[in-house]
Amino acid sequence: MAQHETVDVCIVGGGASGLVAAKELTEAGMTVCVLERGPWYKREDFALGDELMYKRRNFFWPTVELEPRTWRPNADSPSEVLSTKTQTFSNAMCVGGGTIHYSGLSWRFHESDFRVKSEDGPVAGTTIEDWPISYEDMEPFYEKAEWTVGVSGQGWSSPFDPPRKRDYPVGPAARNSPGAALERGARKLGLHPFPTPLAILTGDYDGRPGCIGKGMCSSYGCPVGAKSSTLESMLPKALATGRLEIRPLCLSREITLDRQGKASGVTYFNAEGEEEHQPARLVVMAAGGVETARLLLLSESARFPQGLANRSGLVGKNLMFHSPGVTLVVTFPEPLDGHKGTSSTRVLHDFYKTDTSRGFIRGGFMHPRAHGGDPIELALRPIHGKRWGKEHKDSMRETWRHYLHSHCTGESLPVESNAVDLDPDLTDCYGLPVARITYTSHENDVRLATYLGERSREIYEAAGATRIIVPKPETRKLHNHQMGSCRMGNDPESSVVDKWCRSHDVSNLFIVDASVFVTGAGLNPTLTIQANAFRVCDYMVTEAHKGNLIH
Amino acid sequence: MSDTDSGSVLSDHERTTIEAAAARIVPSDEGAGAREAGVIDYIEGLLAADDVETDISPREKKEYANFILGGMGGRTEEQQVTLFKLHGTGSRHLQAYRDGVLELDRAAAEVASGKDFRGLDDEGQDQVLTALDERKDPFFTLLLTHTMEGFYGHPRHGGNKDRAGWEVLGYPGPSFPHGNEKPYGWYDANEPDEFAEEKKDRSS
Repeated sequence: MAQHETVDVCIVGGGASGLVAAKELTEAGMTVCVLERGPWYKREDFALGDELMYKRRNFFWPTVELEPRTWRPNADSPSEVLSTKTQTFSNAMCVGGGTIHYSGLSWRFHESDFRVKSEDGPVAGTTIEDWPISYEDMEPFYEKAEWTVGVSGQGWSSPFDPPRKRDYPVGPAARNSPGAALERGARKLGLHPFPTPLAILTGDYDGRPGCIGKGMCSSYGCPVGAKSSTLESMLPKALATGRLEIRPLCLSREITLDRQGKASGVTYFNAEGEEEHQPARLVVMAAGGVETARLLLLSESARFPQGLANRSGLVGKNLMFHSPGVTLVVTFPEPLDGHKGTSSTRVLHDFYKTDTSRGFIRGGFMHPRAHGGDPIELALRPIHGKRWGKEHKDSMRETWRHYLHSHCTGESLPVESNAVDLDPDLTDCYGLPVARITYTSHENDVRLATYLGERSREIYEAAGATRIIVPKPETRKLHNHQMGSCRMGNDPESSVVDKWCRSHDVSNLFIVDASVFVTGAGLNPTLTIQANAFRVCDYMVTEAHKGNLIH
Repeated sequence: MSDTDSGSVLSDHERTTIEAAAARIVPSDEGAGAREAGVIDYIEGLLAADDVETDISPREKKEYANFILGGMGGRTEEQQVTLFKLHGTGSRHLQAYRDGVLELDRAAAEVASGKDFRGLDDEGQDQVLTALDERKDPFFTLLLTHTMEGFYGHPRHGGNKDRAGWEVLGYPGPSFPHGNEKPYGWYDANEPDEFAEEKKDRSS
């Protein structure tokens, strides 16, 4: 097997958190190798404006034939192979990961999100806990993330936001018509809509241009360079140090150990399918909540028979996907022209805090989205009366300029049996057992999702919508918000990593993706993933300078 | 991709039968339908790819796709098309279409003795397709999906000729690189915006 030269740090996964770590650690003087299973697209590769290729084929995601995953509702049920449609509702596998195609919603978690058990617990059937860190610990790193990633927004515009010291580096995105329609309804009901903070620049910043309102934003890469993916915001800086090597199309198969039981590097398949080994003084996992857990479980050894860094037995457990999101489809009498602008420009956090009179704890938020220009998706939505024929075609004509879809994102409570493990019956094209997801939403999540759907309906009624379709909550079998599968905590018996996201069992192994989340909040996780990665890297650099990490 | 390549996988009968069925799914009216938009060319392109794929193992397919993806900078139009097909819906559709045509003709003969699907009038064809739809026939769902893709999808894949599908919607198509000017729609133009006042100094 080919052996590379030893680097200070090997990072598995070049997405939201992996490239933050690559930038921070190379800038601190370390040599870094990033192993990314997907291709390395460039800005110009996203220029085709092609719904079919980008959104409905496997441009971003592996095919279900080559790299499938399976799902079952519980341990007593047989598992099914996830469909292409479900698979494509996951994070892109390419350099930049999910930040390439995300909508860019960039939240700070609220103060209560870090202490769910103290505030609202315990809850039967869940494993809710407080995080070992607080909002105050995170605040400086949220600010750093907002200014380094490049987040647009209007500070202090939400009465529900946690305290901040500094505004966003650029102002909020131009309001789209779905956002304006939400405001119309929300104000009539005395609610408080405010501009969505987005990892999308609205003017020149940090050498990149602002958004041109072209649409095709969510689910697409940005050919303008305005979306603050880690491909745009982190990678150029990391490469400029001369200390980063990024290897695309390299699938990690095992974290190797030395005789003392410390991580010694990563074995992976290169683009030609041959095995290579990258020796490293530190290993940082950043492959996302599903694949990070899978790789740890694949890295079993005599010392770690149930998977690496898994003495607690909790690797893969407590997986959270957010509540079973209700997506409304709403039409309005006047044109919304949702093919223009960013997807989200106004949001509501009025239903975020726990109010036990609602019959559930925790909360979430809602926001209308511009579709961005996806006529195939509209054609296949079950909203047209008839699925085909003249009636369907006329419905397309009437709907196209007049519809929005509206998302409800709510917290999902951690449940130990919701988990990732290795499928005993199915392997991928590399011959490795695939990730098997066992997942059923806790009852609280379903009530919360239903509630947010009903509140959304009232708002769009007040706004004068002509038609409002509120589906029932649907079980998530996979999601791009993958959290909790290697939770952090102070007790090695009940957590996988400590508060610095360092394995309790393997002292030179860190995890910086959302696997470490203790609870998932009711908000998109990326900014918190990144702020936490900045925090962990700050610790790693400090420790390294003391001689405690790299000898 | 040459026309001969894409045209070689279906017989004339199969091609015209699928074309006729697609033309009922998106019928021609005052605007173009599936027939004018060339949906059949889109579908044939997909099926031709399935024909090519059969000799490639999943692993080889991945390596080939990786090879192309890894060199995006230097890729040709032909490589892009091949990549699109290799990363297709991940299953074999050609046989489903062949069987589907047989089923359409069989059902047509029940509606009007001695006729195949192409021989039925619009009402008869709709009757056959409605029956398939109502019993959730997987071939019908496949045909429906591919017809919508070929009608409303990007013209670079062979359908939506002259942007006929987008024209029906009044959609100008992808706006990159020029983008869109404000206002975007009626509501952002007319609903008061309390956050419109841009703060200038963000330095502290």
